[in-house]
Amino acid sequence: MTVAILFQLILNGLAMGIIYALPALGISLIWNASGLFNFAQGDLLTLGGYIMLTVFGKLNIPFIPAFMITVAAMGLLGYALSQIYFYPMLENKVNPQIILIGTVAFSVFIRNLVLVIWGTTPQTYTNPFGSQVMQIGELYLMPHVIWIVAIVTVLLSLLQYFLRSTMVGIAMRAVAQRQTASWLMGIRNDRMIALTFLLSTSIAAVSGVLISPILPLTPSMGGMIAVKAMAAVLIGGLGSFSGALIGGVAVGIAETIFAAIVDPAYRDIFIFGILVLFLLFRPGGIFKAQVSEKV
Amino acid sequence: MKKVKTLLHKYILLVIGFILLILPLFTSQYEFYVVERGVQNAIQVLGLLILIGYSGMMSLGSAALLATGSYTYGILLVKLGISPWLGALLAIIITTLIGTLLAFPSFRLAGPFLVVTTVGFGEIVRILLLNLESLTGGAYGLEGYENLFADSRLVYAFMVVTLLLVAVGTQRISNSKLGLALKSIRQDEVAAEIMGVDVRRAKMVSFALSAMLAGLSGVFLANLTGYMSPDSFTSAESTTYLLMVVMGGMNSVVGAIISSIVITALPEFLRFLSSSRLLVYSLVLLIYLRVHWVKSSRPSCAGVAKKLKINIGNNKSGRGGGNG
Amino acid sequence: MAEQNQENRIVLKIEGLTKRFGGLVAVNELNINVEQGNICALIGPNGSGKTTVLNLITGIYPINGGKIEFLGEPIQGLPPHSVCWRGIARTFQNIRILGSQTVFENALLGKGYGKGGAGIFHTVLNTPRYRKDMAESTDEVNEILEFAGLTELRRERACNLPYGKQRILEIARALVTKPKLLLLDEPAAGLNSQEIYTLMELISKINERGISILLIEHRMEFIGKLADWVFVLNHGSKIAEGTFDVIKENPDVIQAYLGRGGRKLA
Repeated sequence: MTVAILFQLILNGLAMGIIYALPALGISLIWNASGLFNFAQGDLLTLGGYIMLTVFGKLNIPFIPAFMITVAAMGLLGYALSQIYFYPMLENKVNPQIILIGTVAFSVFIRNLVLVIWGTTPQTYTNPFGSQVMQIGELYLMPHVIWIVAIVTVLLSLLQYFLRSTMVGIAMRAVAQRQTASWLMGIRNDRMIALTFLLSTSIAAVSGVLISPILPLTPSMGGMIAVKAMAAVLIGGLGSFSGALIGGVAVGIAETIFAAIVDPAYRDIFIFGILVLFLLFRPGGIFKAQVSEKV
Repeated sequence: MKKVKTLLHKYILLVIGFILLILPLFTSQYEFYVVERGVQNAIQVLGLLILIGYSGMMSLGSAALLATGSYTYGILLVKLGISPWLGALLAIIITTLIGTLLAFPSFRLAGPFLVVTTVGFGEIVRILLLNLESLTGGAYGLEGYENLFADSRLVYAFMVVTLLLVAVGTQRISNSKLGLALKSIRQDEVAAEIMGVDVRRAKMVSFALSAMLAGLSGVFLANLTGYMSPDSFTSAESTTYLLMVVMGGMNSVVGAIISSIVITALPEFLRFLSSSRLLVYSLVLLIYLRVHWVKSSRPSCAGVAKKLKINIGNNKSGRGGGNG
Repeated sequence: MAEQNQENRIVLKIEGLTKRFGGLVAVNELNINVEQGNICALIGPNGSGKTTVLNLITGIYPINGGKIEFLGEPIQGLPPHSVCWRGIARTFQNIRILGSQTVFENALLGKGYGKGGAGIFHTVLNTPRYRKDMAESTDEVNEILEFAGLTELRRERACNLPYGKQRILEIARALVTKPKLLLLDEPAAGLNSQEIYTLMELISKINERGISILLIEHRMEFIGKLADWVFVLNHGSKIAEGTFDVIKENPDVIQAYLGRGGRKLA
């Protein structure tokens, strides 16, 4: 294998890995804010993809407004989901196991809703980034690979800025750390958790839109991605911003290389093998979040 | 008082058994198959009742264990040509062993970490079923094995009797020290350890029992369908089993049985459900969780440490909440 | 010979016990001896590491250094359930009973799981051996519920009990494990004076059964009446030990509690 091919595999893996990293980040954000592990993150991604299909592919609205409509719609959905469903459960201190079952139920619900509305046939729309293969030296690249990396880099920098430097972002992180204390400081927990959901579903929408040039849309697409995203978030370290990113990218690159040089059929087993090793020897993931339980 | 209650439980189980046994007299061929599937699912769900309901360890790998049971039986019979009864026994033993291995992650992992592990297990089994074609027949599936009894009605009767025995056993576990240990793990693992509960051992027993019943159910499934393919063991199946155990009240043997049979049969009798079965089920589950759990956190228990607020309201559903 | 005798009378012997959390030394070179039949108290300002000591004894946290001997045998490194099986039971500062189980079931939990008795096959088949085992356990649990005055409440769900009764239940559950040493973490916290009186009586009664007790407490009158021997902790180190009357005059102790220039305790 030449260096060029390896480099190309890494780039393709990077594009895939970013698609895993986004839902992983969504899972991490919600986990941090509310201690809730959202199993529906992958299916929210699917839903975002299909909304884009309707808005951009069917209604022929130009790409950028269509993108924004999709993200806004999904954001609103996330906000409502939190306010109507999950926050009341968190506030009532319902057993986490029950809430976990709730997110699993949401995952199934969204998947089947998509199935009923849009059908099972794989669908796709014109690749907005163009389908002309680009040649850079010895590398052959699809333009969307570069676009995905670029768009996500910009978005993540904005998100990082938002969480670190704006009042709302700081308040959200305060809620994540000490709910009661932040409530005493006059921060409304319900709104902050709803905002986290909004962010996380918007991120799902972005990944749903960006993935369409790589994979055709199917109702079960998000489920398959979610499995990798969940592996990624645990490998990277649940609750850590960088952990979700590094974990996602690592999973994407590892599976692409494994599929190319060993056997594509067993790449998921390979990823889960890595996950099991991490869970056994470094349960907190790469970026171990310090969690201590008062006994 | 306790004796009366136990008697009542036995009585209810006998009534269920009797209804199930005479049901084939009144049903069409197809309806009979649905009832068969309901009974087979109930055996699987009783295993999940022990694992998820009593011990509080969420698993989304149940379809994979069911598949392990089915395929082990099928492969042993088709490839090695051994007798169905020996095949069934070996299938159950192997499934139990594999399921017990799943307990090891649970020693260190809880909540979402454990669930992701079980999801991973499910994926691995699915991929192996698809790709080990020489053994499993791949996507085409596996067929051409003998059943436990040549007469399908005998298989059914045997299955109903097995379900009743399993139900009695599960009920006894629930009332025993083992059952209490499992429930204590769900509510407060540290307190359980301190009180002398060997938590690791209890978790292993819980996983083993659950896997054993999945293996048993898998063998019956193979007998009912006469054919197996990876499509029958998707993650959607695991979710359906989860739904059955939750709607059964998570605390009651009778509830779990009724819920399994009702949820299996419902789409066949309400035709509009059949195309969007999971859509309706998940919606019902969502509403049930939201209404049942948020409303029932009664103030009398509000002062107790939040860890303890787990099963509030289950006395209500304890008598069988199969209202799916 | 006299020394030998002395050694035998020591139930719990802690030597050089050290625990660090990251850079923080929570327990530092601690030495404690609990003698057979005594009620000992562990006191100290908030954050002085008292609860950590209990967590170390019971095996919840691994220790970083030192020795813990119970009845002459080292117990450090054992998992909590083995520590319990050897005869150390405890209660928690924030009550940890099973809210959705009944009082009886909570107490029965003290019988533990996995230390013999009828196994799963006996349970599922409801064999005579299982029934005998269960009947014996039931009798034992009922005897202890009677002893703790909880007989009338045995069918009640634990979360419906008043706070004071929940504390008693937690102690009763610990007694079901048949401990030789009972560790109580702030048993009087949150109780009213009537409940405290009942609790003190109960603790004395438990002690009369020959069970040694090590308790953490803030209420000085409680310790003054009950404790035979007091250990004072500050910043994870023992700064004094002795009878309560001696301790309360100790200037180091007064300073630890009240700062420089503080007045006498109690």
